[in-house]
Amino acid sequence: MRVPSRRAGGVRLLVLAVLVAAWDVGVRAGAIDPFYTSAPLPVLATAVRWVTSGYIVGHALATLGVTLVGLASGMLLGVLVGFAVAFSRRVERVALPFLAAANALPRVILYPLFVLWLGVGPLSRVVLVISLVAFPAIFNTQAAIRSVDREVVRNARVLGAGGPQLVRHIYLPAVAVWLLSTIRVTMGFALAGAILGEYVGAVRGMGMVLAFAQAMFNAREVMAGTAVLLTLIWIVDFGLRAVERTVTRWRMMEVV
Amino acid sequence: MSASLAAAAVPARQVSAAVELIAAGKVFETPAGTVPALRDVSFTAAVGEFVCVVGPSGCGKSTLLNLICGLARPSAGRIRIYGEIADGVQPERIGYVFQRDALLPWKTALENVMLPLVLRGVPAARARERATVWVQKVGLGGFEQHYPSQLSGGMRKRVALAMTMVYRPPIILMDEPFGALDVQTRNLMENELLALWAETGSTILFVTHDLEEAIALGDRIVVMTAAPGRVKAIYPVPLPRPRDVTEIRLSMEFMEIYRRIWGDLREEVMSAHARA
Repeated sequence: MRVPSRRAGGVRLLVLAVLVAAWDVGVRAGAIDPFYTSAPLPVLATAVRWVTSGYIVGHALATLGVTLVGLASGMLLGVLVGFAVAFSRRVERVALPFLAAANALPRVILYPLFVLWLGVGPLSRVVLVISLVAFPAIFNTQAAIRSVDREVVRNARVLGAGGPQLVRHIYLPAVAVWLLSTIRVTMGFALAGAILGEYVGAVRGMGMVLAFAQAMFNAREVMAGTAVLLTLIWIVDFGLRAVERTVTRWRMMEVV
Repeated sequence: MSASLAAAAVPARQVSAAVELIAAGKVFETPAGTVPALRDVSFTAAVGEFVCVVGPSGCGKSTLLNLICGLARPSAGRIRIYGEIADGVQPERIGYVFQRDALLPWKTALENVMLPLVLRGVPAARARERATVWVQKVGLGGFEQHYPSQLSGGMRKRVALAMTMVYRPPIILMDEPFGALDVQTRNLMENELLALWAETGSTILFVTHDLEEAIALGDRIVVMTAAPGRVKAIYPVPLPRPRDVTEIRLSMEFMEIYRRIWGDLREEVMSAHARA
């Protein structure tokens, strides 16, 4: 089952509590140097202060904005290219070597170029996220279209579906299922891209908060930033799981 | 809507043949060379007639239906639908129940049945209404919201049947639609098909390798040879209607027709076997 049972949730909380407690006890007993790790209570206090003062909200929203805008545009671009590659042999032959090469390239090294072209604003990071997200989207779209049963397509044609209707009733649902069932992985790419960009050079965002704290050797703020980030990821992931469940409902029924 | 659909699909001038094959042939180009699938196939199906096509496996029966519905083009000869040379698929005239499952897995049973109506621009509420009627007619009331993966093979076939019946195509092609079903379900479905046919007055071309099924259902039977498929003989089935497919198999007339046709078919089955 994908939905965690109440019991597994309880065990998880327990594991978390034990880890945090060990951290706290380790610092108090002098076994862990708080210079490197800080301690749970000051970290929590910092995080709470950031949230209540509103300081962190702007940064978190900046990161989230870049992530979501990049994710959406990257997936859209990926689907469009994926359709072109899947439906035209010629496009596939020409484009595939380029796509494979670009996909193999670590996109992170392109970020300085993006900054050079687009400045340190969010746009350069959106482009970085797009460059990370679009490739899996292209390959997933292509695979999804290939995986569509030919008999289903023939049936739809006989029933009266023309090209656009085939796309709407057959290919898009197939692609949506593939993309949305991998969206949690893609989301991870997007978030990593956004934070990485901010870390390397930005005036706003969670990555910048972390980079700044690290430059000051402030372990407490690094930990607090990480905690805020984890909470953010957890909330987003919770939403995505709900989306995934709804969209793949017809498929999960098989298991039940 | 349904009446106007059928009226639009059948030309005003009176033609007696719904489907007419004139020396139709089909060869497939493969890396190993050209493979003939059908050769010189000629027969007609009159308007409202139930024609069964039987032949050994691999005799090109499915190819034949693909040619008629326009999914494939004949390499030789001509195919006329209501007297006109066919060009491409003709959703307004020809419905096709496939051998394999061809339902959309991400749509519920009801949404699948609604699809042909939605494709024709019927408003959603109206489409839902009409589809619901057909889901019930094929005995799936209560399963409207189930996905294909939640239905048995027989139920999926019923959905496929409703999906074709709902838009009332005047010609219906069926490719071994009940081949994968157990005997009880199959007989049930055959009887239901006959009832639906009597009610709608469609022309049905029914492909099967099961001679008993063909006799129980058809007005006429086209026997095909082993590959490349040709028409070996055409037999009328002078059994009275309405028929009950289970009971009619026990009648003397049925046995007699069966014996006569089986003589022809056996040779072809043997020769198909010998080659395989």
